[in-house]
Amino acid sequence: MSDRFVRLSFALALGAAACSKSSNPAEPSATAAANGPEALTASIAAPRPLAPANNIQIRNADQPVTLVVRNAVSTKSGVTYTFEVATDSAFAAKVQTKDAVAEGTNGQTTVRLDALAPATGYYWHARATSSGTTGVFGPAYGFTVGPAITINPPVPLAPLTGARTSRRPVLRVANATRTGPAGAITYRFEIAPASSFSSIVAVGTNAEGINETGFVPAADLPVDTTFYWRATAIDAANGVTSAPSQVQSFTTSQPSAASLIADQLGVALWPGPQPPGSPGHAALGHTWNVDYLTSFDGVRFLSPRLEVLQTFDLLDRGFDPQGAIDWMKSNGYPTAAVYYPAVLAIGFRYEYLALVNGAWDLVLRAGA
Amino acid sequence: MRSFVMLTLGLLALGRVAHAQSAAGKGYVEGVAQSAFGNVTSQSYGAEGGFALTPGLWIFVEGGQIRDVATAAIGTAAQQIAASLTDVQPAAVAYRVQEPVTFGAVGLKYEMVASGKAHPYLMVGGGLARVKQNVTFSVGGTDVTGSLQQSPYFVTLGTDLSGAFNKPMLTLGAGVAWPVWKRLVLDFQYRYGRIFADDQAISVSRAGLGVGVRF
Repeated sequence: MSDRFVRLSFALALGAAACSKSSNPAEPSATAAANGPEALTASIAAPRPLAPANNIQIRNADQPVTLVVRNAVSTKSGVTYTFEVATDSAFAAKVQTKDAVAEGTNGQTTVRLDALAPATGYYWHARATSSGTTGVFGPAYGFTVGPAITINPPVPLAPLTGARTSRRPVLRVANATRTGPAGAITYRFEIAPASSFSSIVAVGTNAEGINETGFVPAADLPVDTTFYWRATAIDAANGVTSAPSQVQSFTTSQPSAASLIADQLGVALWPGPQPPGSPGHAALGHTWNVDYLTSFDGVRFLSPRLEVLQTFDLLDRGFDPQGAIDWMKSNGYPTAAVYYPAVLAIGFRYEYLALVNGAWDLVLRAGA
Repeated sequence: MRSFVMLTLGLLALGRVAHAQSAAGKGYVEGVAQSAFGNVTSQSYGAEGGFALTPGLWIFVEGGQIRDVATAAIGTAAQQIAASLTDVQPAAVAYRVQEPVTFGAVGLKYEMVASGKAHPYLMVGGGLARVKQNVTFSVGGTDVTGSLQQSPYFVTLGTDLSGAFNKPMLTLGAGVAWPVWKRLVLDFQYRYGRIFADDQAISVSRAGLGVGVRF
């Protein structure tokens, strides 16, 4: 009988040794489980892409791109994710792989990509791994990273550091240079009492002009105060912003007589280049009232005309009459003025400026 | 179950002394049909045979198949995957879970002294069970189990929902053998089986009738 028991024991031992696990060849393979070589491996439904939405265009400036998937369904816990990004839908040309990404707790898992090359289309997908099973990749989504656009800081034209200005100076910058297919550019001007720009007293955004772009504060600045200003170029469509321009400063002065009349006319006295000097060198005479007049040849016009007002302002800044005319012509302010030194008068198309008793009177011309 | 085992072993130890006479014959074979119940209710079929070591003490060998022992765990896992299929397409999703077991065991069977024709017995044995995990998924009435990895499903089945595994199995049993005509014997039997699967041990009871001959 003992021999029979030996044989029985041998049979039982054989049975125990035969214990094993096999998979259906038609089913996907699963590797050894993390919680023991004999444990059953998990079944996994692949994670689903959520963001960025399929076939979306992402601005290059909005990088880095964050990929978001709805968590995979796994029959066991301890799920990690692998994200792949490639330039082809077959994922033969992978550009980034993020492995062993921990599962998010809100039903979604996210991963932030490294910077991708601009102006390129990409495909991405994700898969889950859990308890010895590496799932298949889920559906692939595509997105395109927009072109690289660089905008250099605009260059300040006026007023430059040290300038004295009116209480509403015209801030001017040369348009910013750029690379790439930039969109419409706007310029944000900021005026602050300190170079740190910790507080802003005036700000405005203007569309880009031809060659240069300007800005006039909407309200008067305090007089005899130094301000700092800078401008930033913005391509809102592409989300690109230049660095701020070099900071310039100016000091406001009491408004000149000419600038006060320009305010009544509703025009900027010097929309372009700002003349040097400070007012206080000339006096207004009579007939500078803002009014509609009729010239000797029957043309109705609003007096004083800007050309005349600008000429007086230059005289007020210390220019001599001919110097004022020359400065205007050489700085983009066309004028038909002619100086007659013999009579101390400056002739314009419809009127004269005549120095009478130390003040410059505005006289309507009687004839050609 | 522990009490059952101790009782069985005790009876077996005493068998050589206590058993003065054995039922007729030195061997037997029988076919069995049983109702299986545990996690689910199903059927079991098989065969059993043995030969006497001493009067009243037999060594037996049995083998058979239980149609389904599906556990709650495999049902839950299949339901999870089915839910994921529902999320990715509009058609109705169904799944079917079945865990058939093919087993074989050897052991000792002690036939107690009986004054009448009936021969009650206890038995204990061990062997091997092969558990298959037959899980299928259908979408819109079409079986998609073979294409789960493809779009739009992207599902990978692990070994918790596919394949098969072999594990040790313990068998305890009791019954009454009833000679009905010459060598023909009816065996009213109960068997308890425990398959030592990895994630969740599987217990299954079988109760049924065996029809065999003793020789």
